[in-house]
Amino acid sequence: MATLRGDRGETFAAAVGRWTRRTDARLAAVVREAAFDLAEAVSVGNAWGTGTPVDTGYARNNWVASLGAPSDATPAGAAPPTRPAGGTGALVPDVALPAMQAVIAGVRAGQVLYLTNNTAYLAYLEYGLTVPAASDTPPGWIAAATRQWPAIVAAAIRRVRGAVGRGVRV
Amino acid sequence: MSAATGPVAALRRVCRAALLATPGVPAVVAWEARAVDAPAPSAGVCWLAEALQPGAEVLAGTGWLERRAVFALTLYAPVGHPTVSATGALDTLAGALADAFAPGRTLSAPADPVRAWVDAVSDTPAAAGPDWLVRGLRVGVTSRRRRPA
Repeated sequence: MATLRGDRGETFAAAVGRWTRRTDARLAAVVREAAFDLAEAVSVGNAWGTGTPVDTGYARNNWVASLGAPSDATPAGAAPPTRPAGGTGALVPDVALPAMQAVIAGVRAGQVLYLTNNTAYLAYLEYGLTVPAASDTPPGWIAAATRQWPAIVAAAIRRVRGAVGRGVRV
Repeated sequence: MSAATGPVAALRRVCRAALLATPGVPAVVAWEARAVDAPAPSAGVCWLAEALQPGAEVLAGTGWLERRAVFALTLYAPVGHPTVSATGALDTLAGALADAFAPGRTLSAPADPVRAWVDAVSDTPAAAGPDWLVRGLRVGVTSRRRRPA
C-alpha cells in the first residue's frame, strides 16, 4: 500500500497532526487575545470598556484571573486604604492587570477562565446602588464590557489571522 | 438634557424617549452626568437614575456599523414607611420598565439616525440602603446605522 505524502515529503497523518497543532495554537492565541482585552476593559479600560472607577484604585486592583474556578483572593489587600484627612492618599499600585496577563498567557482553548473581583463594594459601583453624583462613572461597565464579547473575539481573530499572514508563528 | 450630536447621543436620545414613554415612570429621574437632589423619602414615591454605557462600534455586514450598549436603570424606593411596601413599589416600577424594554422591542422610530432594539434585560435583587431600597435594571441595547460613505 502506498503512503500518501504531502509536498513537504511528510505523511498524510503527519500533515494532519501538524495542522491540528497549529490550529490549536491559533485557537489558544485567539482566546488569550480576547480574554486579555476583556480583562483590560473591566479593569483599567480600553476601547471595549471604561474600566473600574478609581478613587484609591483598590477595586481596580482586585481583579483576578484564574483557570478552572473563580478566585476568592483580594490582591489589593483585605480592605481599601484610608485616605488621610485633607490629603489625596496613595493609590493602590497597578498590579492587577500584569498578574491577570500572566494567568491569561497560560490559557488554552477549551479551558474556563474566570475574571473575579471580590471588592466588598463592587456591586455598588457596577449597579449604582448609591445616590448618584454628576461626577460618578456611570454604572454598568462590567455588563457593557461583557456585551462586547462577540466583537472582542472577532477582533482577536482578525489580529491572529493578520499575524499568521505576516508570517508570525503562533 | 444636552442637544449633543453623534451616534452615541442619538442612541441615548432613543433610550431616553423610550424611558419617558413608559407608563408609571417617576417624576424624578436622575439623568446621567447631571447632579440630582435625591427627593426626601416619601411613602410610595420612587425615583430612578439612568445611564448609557455604549460599547465600541464595529462593522456588521456590508455598509452597517453596530454598537452594543447597556442602558442602566437604577430604581429607588423609600424604606421606613410601614404603610407602603417599598418592595411592592419597586416591583411595580421594575415590572413596567421590564415590559417597556422587553427583548426584541424596537426602540427607535424610522426617522431616527440609528436603529435600536432591546436584546437582553437583566434585573438585580433589591439592596437596602439607609433611606432607599435600590434595584438595578440592565437593558442590553443594540444599535445600527449606515456606515458613512
